[in-house]
Amino acid sequence: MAVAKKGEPTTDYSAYTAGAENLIELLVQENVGWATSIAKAVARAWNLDWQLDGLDGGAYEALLFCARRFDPTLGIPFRGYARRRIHESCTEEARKSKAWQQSTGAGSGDEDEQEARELSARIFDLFPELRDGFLPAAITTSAEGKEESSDMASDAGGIKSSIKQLLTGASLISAFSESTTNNQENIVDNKRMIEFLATLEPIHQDIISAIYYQGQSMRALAEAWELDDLSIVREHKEIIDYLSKKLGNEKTPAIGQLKVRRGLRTKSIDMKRKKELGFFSKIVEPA
Amino acid sequence: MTKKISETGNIAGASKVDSVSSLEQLEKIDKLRELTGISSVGRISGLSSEGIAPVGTRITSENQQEVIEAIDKEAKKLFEGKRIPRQRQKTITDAIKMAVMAATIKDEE
Repeated sequence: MAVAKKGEPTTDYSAYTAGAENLIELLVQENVGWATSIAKAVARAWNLDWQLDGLDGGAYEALLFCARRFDPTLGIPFRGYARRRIHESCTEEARKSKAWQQSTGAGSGDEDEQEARELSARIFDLFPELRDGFLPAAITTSAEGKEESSDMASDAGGIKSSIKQLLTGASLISAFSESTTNNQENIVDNKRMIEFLATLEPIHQDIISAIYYQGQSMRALAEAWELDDLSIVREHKEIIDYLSKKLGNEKTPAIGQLKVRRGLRTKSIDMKRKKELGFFSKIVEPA
Repeated sequence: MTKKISETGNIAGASKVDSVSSLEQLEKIDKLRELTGISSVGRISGLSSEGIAPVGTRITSENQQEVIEAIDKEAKKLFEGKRIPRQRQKTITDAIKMAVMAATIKDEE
């Protein structure tokens, strides 16, 4: 049974019908303060005004949308269901706001801050669990050598591993962003990064290039490859976790090659059979 | 735990199980005629985590500072000895801090 968190309403909605006006009204009334808190959190992080920049409107709109679609018979807590969409709506409003648009202009003075904002907005696309208020799950290796995701609510090791994943993901986005590739200073580092990525399995290289270089969503990539979304999400997580370990311990040879998980094995075997090179291998070893 | 039972001969009325009080490990069942209740299951093997999206540590207003400090610490370790320009290191670190802050809901304000 789901346990209500601090401040979360404990109302039993099971007697209500999905989409009924009285349920929508009750949900909005009980959760409007919470939705506003999401808008304020986003505004605070990006140095915006939650009201002037329209984040409150975005939060309310998404709250109403979720309240209309919420089905109490499914047994999912409303906030668990609605949080990601409300957060998404707030970040969309933030990116549309005048304050955001004006700071992207050349010579605006705070270009570095704006670059960090843009990067953090992309981080949400790659690690959507952040929108739900969770750090990415740390991946640990069990005694039997199997990879498991950790569930360490207060474990500093878990936090450390999650942060390494975020840093690696952000470094990759940054490495392939236009402002970085145009900068002479970054060329040497990017060359090293590409050489390093070229050592990955071809399928892993293609996942990284699709998401970070071509800006494709994981869902779009899964559709293009006719695979399940979760296979790509899980594989991406494994790649990032592997890269964070490798990049953090370049002198440690103990970390072997990352294996392709079951969900993508057929596609990977197919690529190898056709002798297809991965995206970064093609750059490093041109035909 | 599995115990070997030998020479059972013919046990009358053994075709029906009313309840199982404890089950340590279950690997394979050929045929089950009737089962009315199971009170405790010790372990079920063969379940895969494939298809279940894992979640990590929840970010709260209580642990936000700890997370922010860990970002600085891990960034320092990751960037040490690498030729990543200092400004780019700062942008990456700031972006993650922003994402963490934007993900932390303070109690309804």
